[in-house]
Amino acid sequence: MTPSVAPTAARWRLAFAALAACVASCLAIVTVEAALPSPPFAVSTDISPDGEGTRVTVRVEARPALTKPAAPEAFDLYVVQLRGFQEVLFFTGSGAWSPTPVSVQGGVFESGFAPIAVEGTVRGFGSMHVMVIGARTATDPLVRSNWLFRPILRSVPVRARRAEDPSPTEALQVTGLLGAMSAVAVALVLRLSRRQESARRQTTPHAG
Amino acid sequence: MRLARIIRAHPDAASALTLIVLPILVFGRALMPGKVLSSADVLFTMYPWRGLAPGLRPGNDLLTDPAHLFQPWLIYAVNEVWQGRIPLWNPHVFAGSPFFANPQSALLFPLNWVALIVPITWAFALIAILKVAAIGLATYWFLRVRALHPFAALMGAISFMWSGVVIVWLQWTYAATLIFLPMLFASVECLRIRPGRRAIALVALSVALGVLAGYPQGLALALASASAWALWRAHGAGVPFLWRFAAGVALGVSLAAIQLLPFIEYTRLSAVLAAREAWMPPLSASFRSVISLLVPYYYGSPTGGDYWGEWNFNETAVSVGLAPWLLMPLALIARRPGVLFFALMAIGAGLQLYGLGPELANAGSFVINFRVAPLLAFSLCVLGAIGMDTLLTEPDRPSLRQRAVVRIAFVAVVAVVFLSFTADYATMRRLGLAAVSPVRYVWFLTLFTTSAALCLIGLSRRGSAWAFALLGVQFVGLAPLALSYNPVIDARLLYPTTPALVRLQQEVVEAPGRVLMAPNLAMLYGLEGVAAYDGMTPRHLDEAIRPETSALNLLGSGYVGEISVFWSPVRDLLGIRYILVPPEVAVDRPGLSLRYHGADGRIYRNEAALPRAFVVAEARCLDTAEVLKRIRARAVDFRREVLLTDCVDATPGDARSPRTDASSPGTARIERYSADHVRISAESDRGGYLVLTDSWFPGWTANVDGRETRVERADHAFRAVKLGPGHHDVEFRYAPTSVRLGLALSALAAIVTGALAWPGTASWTILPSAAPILRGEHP
Repeated sequence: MTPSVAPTAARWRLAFAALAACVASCLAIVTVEAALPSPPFAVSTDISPDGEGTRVTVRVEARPALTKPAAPEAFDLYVVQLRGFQEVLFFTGSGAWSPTPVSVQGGVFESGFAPIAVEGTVRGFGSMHVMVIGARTATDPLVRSNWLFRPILRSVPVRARRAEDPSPTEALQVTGLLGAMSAVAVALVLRLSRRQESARRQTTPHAG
Repeated sequence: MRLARIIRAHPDAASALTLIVLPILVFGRALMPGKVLSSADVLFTMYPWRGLAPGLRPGNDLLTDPAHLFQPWLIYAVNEVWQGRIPLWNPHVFAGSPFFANPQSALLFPLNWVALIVPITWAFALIAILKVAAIGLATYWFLRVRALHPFAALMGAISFMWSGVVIVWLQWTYAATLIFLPMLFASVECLRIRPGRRAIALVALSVALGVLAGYPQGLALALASASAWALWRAHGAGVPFLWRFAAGVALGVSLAAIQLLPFIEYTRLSAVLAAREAWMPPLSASFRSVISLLVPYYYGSPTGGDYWGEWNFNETAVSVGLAPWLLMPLALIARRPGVLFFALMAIGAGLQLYGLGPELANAGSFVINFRVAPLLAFSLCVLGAIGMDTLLTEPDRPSLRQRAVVRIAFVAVVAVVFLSFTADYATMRRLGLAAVSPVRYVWFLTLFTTSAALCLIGLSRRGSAWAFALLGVQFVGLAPLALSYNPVIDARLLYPTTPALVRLQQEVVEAPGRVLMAPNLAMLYGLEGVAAYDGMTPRHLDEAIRPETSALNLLGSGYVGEISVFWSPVRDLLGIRYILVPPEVAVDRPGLSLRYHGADGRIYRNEAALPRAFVVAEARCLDTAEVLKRIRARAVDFRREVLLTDCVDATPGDARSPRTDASSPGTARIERYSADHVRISAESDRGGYLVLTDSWFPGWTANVDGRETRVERADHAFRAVKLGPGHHDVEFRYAPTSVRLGLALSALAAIVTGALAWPGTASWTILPSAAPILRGEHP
């Protein structure tokens, strides 16, 4: 009687990797078959200090679409700022934010368009979430059925810089004090570790 | 000394007791007379409640869902059950909507049954205590089944049960689902170690209870990760183990069919799900939010009103305390079984949560990157527990490598937090956090240094005093969030009835009709409203109210708000007779008359509101798009004609009944009205259609004079039945097939599960003995 061979760890790892690959493929297929196609544009953001606020630049550039549209359809481009999960503001293109829908460029075609750059100053701190939507021309961009592509979502960090601190000396004192405390804490832990190591060496001379 | 002896003699019992007592200590103050665990004080930022206590600041204004949805639902469900009804339907919101079918009502989840036994003010706290304790016990169970030292398992349990993700979502059903993440892993372990019918039953019970806990997305992710764990553990056990696991899952799904089938039915008719199918935003936390894993209040807190991080605090709160960050590296270098799996799970979940993984936004409407946070927290806690186990079970072999990794972890974490703090200090100062932020840093540094010192002591000495101390420091680090996040308020602030609400209650007795007020809360005052949200939203009603948008909002969530309903073309059809607005808002519109003006609001009466039930002479059969087009154009006289959809015996565009004298189509009077049963007496000389402006939904049946009659979908979202000439008794009943079929399937699965779990001759324990581990004989 031939003894059965237990599956080796390598075989199991191979099986696991195959399963992971299957899951990844399924997800990829689902992504391709999503209700909305990928957008024919790319979005990049840039930030720079601007007085009390942060200047945010949003660039939208055409890129070849993954799927060829049956009939090219014009669309309007909107740059939207998500404020939490409910409220939105529209970038007007002239640097202002509007609560009512305003497109940064209208009548754009998938086949290509000149790069668009809009910039404006944002006050406040934390993160700004920018969404770029391509909606059918002259329709409400907040209605999903008007979207031609999946929107693109980008997070932009908005924060003050140390150089802009009104009283840098005080900031330096506080961070210096905390740095010193951190250094003391690190020294304590390292010293405790060394002391125990030497104690262990004394009690177990053959340990090593 | 005696206590230490008892703990050593009964470590599992002592640990279980600790896991139960800690939540009681943290939330027990909510059981004191006159107190309640609730965020209902958020209502005092809006009218009419604001009128009672202007200027009252809520304890945590981020906890709106518990105040607007979960606690009102529980109160509604308890009232219905005490009146002898199973709350399948809720007539108080959305012009009526499925209640039981919405899994977040979690009617069948055993922990919620507490509310049936004790006063509701106690129930909120008791349910929270039980949830946290159950999460801790399930985590402890899993780690002990993995043969970890009881103290190490306790470390993992305490870390997960008090983790940010559990505490911030505690009053949502989401937290209840988190019980079943460790429980599923433990069930897989039981099945692996002691394969057999009872282990299959255990898997089935874990899956079923997880479904009933009320947050399908959370359970799906837990089940996916537990399945991956089963696959990982299949090495050496072979395919039969995987078949047993699959059988357990299938049985569990069948057990929960009573909840799942109605949920699937509601899903098909949900506006939220329809919107998310088109596109699900790939929301995730930014990489810099990682810092809040180490310092939970790094970006401030909603309870302090100084939060400046991204999205909201709840979405990024994943902290698991500080000890796991020192213990984890020990686990990684020890190469214990399973470490690689949990390390990969932590990395995968972390990448997804912090927006560095693949975009899963279009993998259906189910995946939100934020929802993988529990997987990250759980895997970090497990790794931390394994690391502590190496300290407890290998005290004679401390290596230089172990000391080195603790030192490196300590220095690295301190450096990261300090550098981040230095970079953000200018922002913190501008936000007025110049004093509080350094205090938060010092608190972190003190706890982390103490934890590191205790780990190093643990590496060098025998005994377990250091382990007790480390557990204590870990709890102290997690306690601030646990103690402060879920407010305990004065019980008088729990949904008080204001003078305006009293007036509304009086008015609806005099002239019945729906009210327009804050979403969902009409249900607490015996009123019937339309503005509401439930995470799903009946699609037809949403489309009738907002025919020009038919979408909830940009992100595919949100609610049917008062303003949408007020400007809706179906406002009068919905029978909205009363409109409650803030006291400073004057509504000058034809047909609206002021009935009340007080400090808590104004009430207007809408004279144009249609009655809940009425008879029309004319009907037209149209397709959905045409109905919505006419409604949008306000081109329908709802008093005169009804637009029918999905007609079975007429072609679209057909007039379904002869045009008659529209001035006297007939009368209708509601004789009896309860959640799932409406009886109407109708009279019509020439026949027509009885329209009931309650939401149309599958499962509603109608009897006219005792004969079953088809319920037509009227005016896109409502109900109608055809009447012949003469007097008729019409009865509408809600008895969905999905519930009946689900019940039958669940009953069958329960019999099978019971048979599998039936005690046999062989003994079966779910926990290995701790004695060998305590003797230093690590398996």
